[in-house]
Amino acid sequence: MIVCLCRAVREHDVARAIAEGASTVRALGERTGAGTDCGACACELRSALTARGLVSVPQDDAPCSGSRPMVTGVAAK
Amino acid sequence: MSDTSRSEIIRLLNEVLTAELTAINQYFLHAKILQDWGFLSLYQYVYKESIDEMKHAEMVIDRVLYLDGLPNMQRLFKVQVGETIQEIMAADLSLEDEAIPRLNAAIAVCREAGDNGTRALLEEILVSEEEHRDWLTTQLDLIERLGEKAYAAEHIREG
Repeated sequence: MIVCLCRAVREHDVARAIAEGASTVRALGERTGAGTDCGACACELRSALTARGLVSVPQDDAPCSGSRPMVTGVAAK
Repeated sequence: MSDTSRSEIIRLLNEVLTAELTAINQYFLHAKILQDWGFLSLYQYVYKESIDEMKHAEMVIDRVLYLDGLPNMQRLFKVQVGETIQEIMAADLSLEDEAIPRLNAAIAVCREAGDNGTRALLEEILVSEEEHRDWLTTQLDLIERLGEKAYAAEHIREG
Protein backbone atom coordinates (compact mmCIF):
# COMPACT_ATOMS: atom_id res chain seq x y z
CA MET A 1 0.00 0.00 0.00
CA ILE A 2 0.95 3.62 -0.49
CA VAL A 3 0.87 5.11 3.02
CA CYS A 4 1.34 8.79 2.14
CA LEU A 5 0.02 9.92 -1.22
CA CYS A 6 1.25 13.52 -0.84
CA ARG A 7 4.90 12.43 -0.52
CA ALA A 8 4.66 9.05 -2.32
CA VAL A 9 5.77 7.04 0.71
CA ARG A 10 5.21 3.27 0.56
CA GLU A 11 4.72 0.76 3.38
CA HIS A 12 8.24 -0.60 2.91
CA ASP A 13 9.71 2.92 3.24
CA VAL A 14 7.94 3.27 6.59
CA ALA A 15 9.08 -0.20 7.70
CA ARG A 16 12.69 0.67 6.82
CA ALA A 17 12.53 3.99 8.71
CA ILE A 18 11.19 2.18 11.80
CA ALA A 19 13.95 -0.46 11.49
CA GLU A 20 16.45 2.40 11.36
CA GLY A 21 15.15 3.82 14.64
CA ALA A 22 12.14 6.06 13.99
CA SER A 23 9.75 5.51 16.92
CA THR A 24 7.19 8.33 16.63
CA VAL A 25 4.92 9.68 13.90
CA ARG A 26 7.00 12.84 13.94
CA ALA A 27 10.27 10.93 13.48
CA LEU A 28 8.73 8.97 10.57
CA GLY A 29 7.79 12.31 9.01
CA GLU A 30 11.32 13.62 9.39
CA ARG A 31 12.88 10.50 7.83
CA THR A 32 10.40 9.73 5.03
CA GLY A 33 8.27 12.86 4.58
CA ALA A 34 5.14 10.79 5.32
CA GLY A 35 2.40 12.76 7.05
CA THR A 36 4.06 16.13 6.62
CA ASP A 37 1.72 17.58 4.00
CA CYS A 38 -2.04 17.04 4.53
CA GLY A 39 -1.54 14.79 7.57
CA ALA A 40 -4.25 12.27 6.60
CA CYS A 41 -1.93 9.26 7.06
CA ALA A 42 -1.00 10.04 10.69
CA CYS A 43 -3.22 7.15 11.88
CA GLU A 44 -1.59 4.69 9.50
CA LEU A 45 1.86 5.81 10.65
CA ARG A 46 0.72 5.40 14.26
CA SER A 47 -0.58 1.88 13.45
CA ALA A 48 2.72 0.93 11.83
CA LEU A 49 4.46 1.92 15.08
CA THR A 50 2.03 0.18 17.43
CA ALA A 51 2.12 -2.99 15.29
CA ARG A 52 5.85 -3.18 16.10
CA GLY A 53 5.32 -2.62 19.81
CA LEU A 54 6.33 1.05 19.67
CA VAL A 55 3.32 2.25 21.62
CA SER A 56 4.76 5.09 23.64
CA VAL A 57 3.46 8.24 22.04
CA PRO A 58 4.73 11.60 23.29
CA GLN A 59 2.10 14.24 24.09
CA ASP A 60 3.33 16.50 21.32
CA ASP A 61 3.28 13.80 18.62
CA ALA A 62 1.12 14.33 15.51
CA PRO A 63 -2.63 14.09 16.16
CA CYS A 64 -4.61 11.01 15.15
CA SER A 65 -8.29 10.25 15.65
CA GLY A 66 -10.40 7.47 14.17
CA SER A 67 -9.45 4.88 11.59
CA ARG A 68 -10.15 7.10 8.60
CA PRO A 69 -9.13 10.65 9.39
CA MET A 70 -10.56 13.51 7.42
CA VAL A 71 -8.37 15.70 5.31
CA THR A 72 -9.24 19.20 6.37
CA GLY A 73 -6.43 21.03 4.65
CA VAL A 74 -4.62 21.55 7.96
CA ALA A 75 -1.18 19.95 7.82
CA ALA A 76 0.02 17.94 10.81
CA LYS A 77 2.53 20.23 12.41
CA MET B 1 -39.74 18.32 8.65
CA SER B 2 -38.30 20.19 11.66
CA ASP B 3 -35.23 22.45 11.33
CA THR B 4 -33.31 20.07 13.59
CA SER B 5 -34.12 17.08 11.36
CA ARG B 6 -33.27 19.04 8.24
CA SER B 7 -29.85 20.15 9.51
CA GLU B 8 -29.09 16.61 10.74
CA ILE B 9 -29.98 15.22 7.29
CA ILE B 10 -27.79 17.85 5.60
CA ARG B 11 -24.93 16.82 7.91
CA LEU B 12 -25.42 13.13 7.02
CA LEU B 13 -25.65 13.93 3.30
CA ASN B 14 -22.38 15.86 3.55
CA GLU B 15 -20.73 12.85 5.19
CA VAL B 16 -22.02 10.64 2.35
CA LEU B 17 -20.69 13.27 -0.09
CA THR B 18 -17.22 13.15 1.53
CA ALA B 19 -17.21 9.37 1.01
CA GLU B 20 -18.36 9.71 -2.61
CA LEU B 21 -15.66 12.30 -3.39
CA THR B 22 -13.05 10.04 -1.77
CA ALA B 23 -14.31 7.07 -3.80
CA ILE B 24 -14.21 9.03 -7.09
CA ASN B 25 -10.52 9.81 -6.51
CA GLN B 26 -9.50 6.40 -5.17
CA TYR B 27 -11.24 4.43 -7.95
CA PHE B 28 -10.03 6.82 -10.65
CA LEU B 29 -6.40 6.52 -9.53
CA HIS B 30 -6.72 2.73 -9.23
CA ALA B 31 -8.27 2.61 -12.74
CA LYS B 32 -5.39 4.60 -14.22
CA ILE B 33 -2.78 2.48 -12.38
CA LEU B 34 -4.44 -0.70 -13.73
CA GLN B 35 -4.40 0.81 -17.24
CA ASP B 36 -0.73 1.69 -16.83
CA TRP B 37 0.00 -1.91 -15.80
CA GLY B 38 -1.90 -3.18 -18.87
CA PHE B 39 -4.89 -4.80 -17.12
CA LEU B 40 -7.34 -3.26 -19.54
CA SER B 41 -10.59 -5.02 -18.59
CA LEU B 42 -10.01 -4.19 -14.90
CA TYR B 43 -9.21 -0.60 -15.90
CA GLN B 44 -12.53 -0.36 -17.76
CA TYR B 45 -14.53 -1.72 -14.82
CA VAL B 46 -12.85 0.40 -12.13
CA TYR B 47 -13.04 3.53 -14.34
CA LYS B 48 -16.80 3.02 -14.66
CA GLU B 49 -17.06 2.64 -10.87
CA SER B 50 -15.35 6.02 -10.44
CA ILE B 51 -17.81 7.67 -12.84
CA ASP B 52 -20.73 6.00 -10.98
CA GLU B 53 -19.48 7.57 -7.75
CA MET B 54 -19.41 10.96 -9.47
CA LYS B 55 -23.06 10.49 -10.46
CA HIS B 56 -23.87 9.63 -6.83
CA ALA B 57 -22.01 12.76 -5.71
CA GLU B 58 -24.12 14.85 -8.10
CA MET B 59 -27.35 13.38 -6.67
CA VAL B 60 -26.20 14.16 -3.11
CA ILE B 61 -25.06 17.69 -4.03
CA ASP B 62 -28.43 18.41 -5.70
CA ARG B 63 -30.26 17.14 -2.62
CA VAL B 64 -28.19 19.21 -0.16
CA LEU B 65 -28.86 22.34 -2.24
CA TYR B 66 -32.58 21.47 -2.41
CA LEU B 67 -32.58 21.28 1.42
CA ASP B 68 -30.94 24.76 1.48
CA GLY B 69 -27.62 23.38 2.74
CA LEU B 70 -24.11 23.85 1.37
CA PRO B 71 -22.45 20.75 -0.12
CA ASN B 72 -18.97 20.32 1.38
CA MET B 73 -16.66 19.76 -1.59
CA GLN B 74 -13.58 20.52 0.53
CA ARG B 75 -13.31 17.41 2.63
CA LEU B 76 -11.97 13.95 1.72
CA PHE B 77 -11.42 10.81 3.76
CA LYS B 78 -8.04 9.08 3.45
CA VAL B 79 -7.46 7.85 -0.13
CA GLN B 80 -6.07 4.31 0.12
CA VAL B 81 -3.87 3.26 -2.79
CA GLY B 82 -2.81 -0.34 -3.40
CA GLU B 83 0.47 -1.47 -4.97
CA THR B 84 -0.86 -4.82 -6.28
CA ILE B 85 -4.18 -5.90 -7.83
CA GLN B 86 -5.13 -7.62 -4.57
CA GLU B 87 -4.27 -4.54 -2.50
CA ILE B 88 -6.29 -2.34 -4.88
CA MET B 89 -9.38 -4.58 -4.56
CA ALA B 90 -9.00 -4.82 -0.77
CA ALA B 91 -8.63 -1.03 -0.41
CA ASP B 92 -11.77 -0.45 -2.51
CA LEU B 93 -13.66 -3.10 -0.51
CA SER B 94 -12.69 -1.36 2.73
CA LEU B 95 -14.17 1.88 1.37
CA GLU B 96 -17.45 0.12 0.48
CA ASP B 97 -17.49 -1.65 3.85
CA GLU B 98 -17.57 1.78 5.50
CA ALA B 99 -20.02 3.31 3.00
CA ILE B 100 -22.78 0.68 3.33
CA PRO B 101 -23.37 0.99 7.13
CA ARG B 102 -23.14 4.80 6.80
CA LEU B 103 -25.88 4.77 4.13
CA ASN B 104 -28.08 2.38 6.13
CA ALA B 105 -27.77 4.61 9.21
CA ALA B 106 -28.62 7.75 7.20
CA ILE B 107 -31.62 5.98 5.62
CA ALA B 108 -32.94 5.13 9.12
CA VAL B 109 -32.67 8.81 10.14
CA CYS B 110 -34.52 9.91 6.98
CA ARG B 111 -37.30 7.38 7.60
CA GLU B 112 -37.64 8.60 11.21
CA ALA B 113 -37.79 12.25 10.05
CA GLY B 114 -40.32 11.46 7.31
CA ASP B 115 -37.90 12.65 4.59
CA ASN B 116 -38.77 10.01 1.98
CA GLY B 117 -37.13 11.91 -0.87
CA THR B 118 -33.67 11.74 0.74
CA ARG B 119 -34.40 8.17 1.88
CA ALA B 120 -35.20 7.03 -1.70
CA LEU B 121 -32.08 8.76 -3.03
CA LEU B 122 -29.82 7.12 -0.44
CA GLU B 123 -31.46 3.73 -1.06
CA GLU B 124 -30.61 3.99 -4.77
CA ILE B 125 -26.98 4.77 -3.91
CA LEU B 126 -26.94 1.93 -1.35
CA VAL B 127 -27.99 -0.69 -3.93
CA SER B 128 -25.26 0.52 -6.28
CA GLU B 129 -22.61 0.35 -3.52
CA GLU B 130 -23.76 -3.17 -2.57
CA GLU B 131 -23.38 -4.29 -6.20
CA HIS B 132 -19.85 -2.87 -6.27
CA ARG B 133 -19.04 -4.57 -2.95
CA ASP B 134 -20.32 -7.88 -4.36
CA TRP B 135 -18.06 -7.53 -7.43
CA LEU B 136 -15.04 -6.75 -5.23
CA THR B 137 -15.57 -9.75 -2.92
CA THR B 138 -15.92 -11.98 -6.01
CA GLN B 139 -12.63 -10.66 -7.44
CA LEU B 140 -10.83 -11.17 -4.11
CA ASP B 141 -12.23 -14.73 -3.95
CA LEU B 142 -10.98 -15.41 -7.49
CA ILE B 143 -7.53 -14.05 -6.63
CA GLU B 144 -7.49 -16.30 -3.57
CA ARG B 145 -8.48 -19.38 -5.58
CA LEU B 146 -6.49 -18.82 -8.80
CA GLY B 147 -3.53 -16.89 -7.46
CA GLU B 148 -2.92 -13.28 -8.47
CA LYS B 149 -0.88 -14.22 -11.59
CA ALA B 150 -3.58 -16.45 -13.11
CA TYR B 151 -6.30 -13.94 -12.23
CA ALA B 152 -4.29 -11.07 -13.74
CA ALA B 153 -3.63 -13.01 -16.97
CA GLU B 154 -7.39 -13.11 -17.59
CA HIS B 155 -7.62 -9.29 -17.49
CA ILE B 156 -5.08 -7.98 -19.97
CA ARG B 157 -7.57 -7.57 -22.84
CA GLU B 158 -10.30 -4.97 -23.10
CA GLY B 159 -13.66 -6.29 -21.90
